[in-house]
Amino acid sequence: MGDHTSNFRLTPEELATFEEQGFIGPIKVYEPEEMERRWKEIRRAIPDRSRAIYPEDSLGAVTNLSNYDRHLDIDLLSEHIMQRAIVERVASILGPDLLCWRTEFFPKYQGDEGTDWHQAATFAHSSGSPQIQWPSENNAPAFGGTITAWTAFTHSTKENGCLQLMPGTHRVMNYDESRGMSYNPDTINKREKESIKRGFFGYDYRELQKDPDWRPDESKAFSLVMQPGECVIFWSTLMHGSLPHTGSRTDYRMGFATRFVPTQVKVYPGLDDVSEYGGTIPLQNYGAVLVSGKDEYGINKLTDRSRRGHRFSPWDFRQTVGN
Amino acid sequence: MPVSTPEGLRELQDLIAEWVGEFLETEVSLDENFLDLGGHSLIAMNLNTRLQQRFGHELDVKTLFELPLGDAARELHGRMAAQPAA
Repeated sequence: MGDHTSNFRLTPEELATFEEQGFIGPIKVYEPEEMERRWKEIRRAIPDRSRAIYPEDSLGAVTNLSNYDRHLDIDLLSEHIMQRAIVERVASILGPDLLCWRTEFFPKYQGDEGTDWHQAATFAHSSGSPQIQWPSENNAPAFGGTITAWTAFTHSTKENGCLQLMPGTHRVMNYDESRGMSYNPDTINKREKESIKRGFFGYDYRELQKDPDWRPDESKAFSLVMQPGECVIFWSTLMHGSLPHTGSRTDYRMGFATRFVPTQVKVYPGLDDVSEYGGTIPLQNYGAVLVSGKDEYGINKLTDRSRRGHRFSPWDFRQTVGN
Repeated sequence: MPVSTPEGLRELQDLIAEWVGEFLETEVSLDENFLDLGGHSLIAMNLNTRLQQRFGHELDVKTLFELPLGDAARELHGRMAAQPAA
């Protein structure tokens, strides 16, 4: 994939906006009809776990860890993480040498609570251990995070629990992910925060607040309504959450998050498994995917093909994207 | 009212169609597919909870997602006949 003709590289103006706002989007990755066709096929592939890298029993109360990283066994998801419309834009932000280190489904069904406002830099918030680690700067841990490309596989509306973002909040963490939260699945769908039913998949993200008396400034929030096939790209350190699902039983929302870091970031440092949301996934079959450029650091376990033999051929944006 | 014998296939199919129709709040027929009708994994889970409670068996979700409802019920019925619940 060595085409150097750039179609999706962010312009200097777009980059400046991204740096200021912490997100860009919605952007169209697929036409709605194309997304619907793809999602239909993906849905039928999900129950076949014969090549999935995590065991089926990694099931929390509401979060299915066993469906993390299904890009490693479902062809259309293998294709999706390599979509140039996403990868080139992310490479514009993070540089040309990029890993996809995690994918996750984010469903919302009738009656589901919204997701707490949160920020994630290390992703230690639920598991207790950093899941990504940027190289230290001046002998201090670097402030990092991941770039998440959240694609609407179905339409995403205020009624079915769309994402909400607070632009410009990505540079300062209001939460300390090292504090740890208690897992209480009995509280799911039972708590209101600022008059909105919200939770964090069995946790209460407020437990991580640096200042217990601080409250998210909801006046800064906006709701991100998206068509099927549209995507928003944002720093995981941006304040984000979602609305509760107040719609009908069949009008569910499905988001698919693809998470990227540059190759110098260590993924799952020192971890053999990840325990969060009431489940555990062993990492022995795990490998990050080089989606563009080269890995000149060699600090992560990579895989260049899916468990169905789909080959991940990294894009080469080195001629078009600066570091 | 156990429906765990081969003679009960039609009864099982009708029951599954009735329950799916109830979950989806619409009329369904046995030649329609669960996903195409608007079903999703949570509804599939709820359907299987009912089936498990009543018969000690569940629909195979892959089959439910791929085949028409009547054929998914037939696959379940075959397993029920081969391995009656304890």
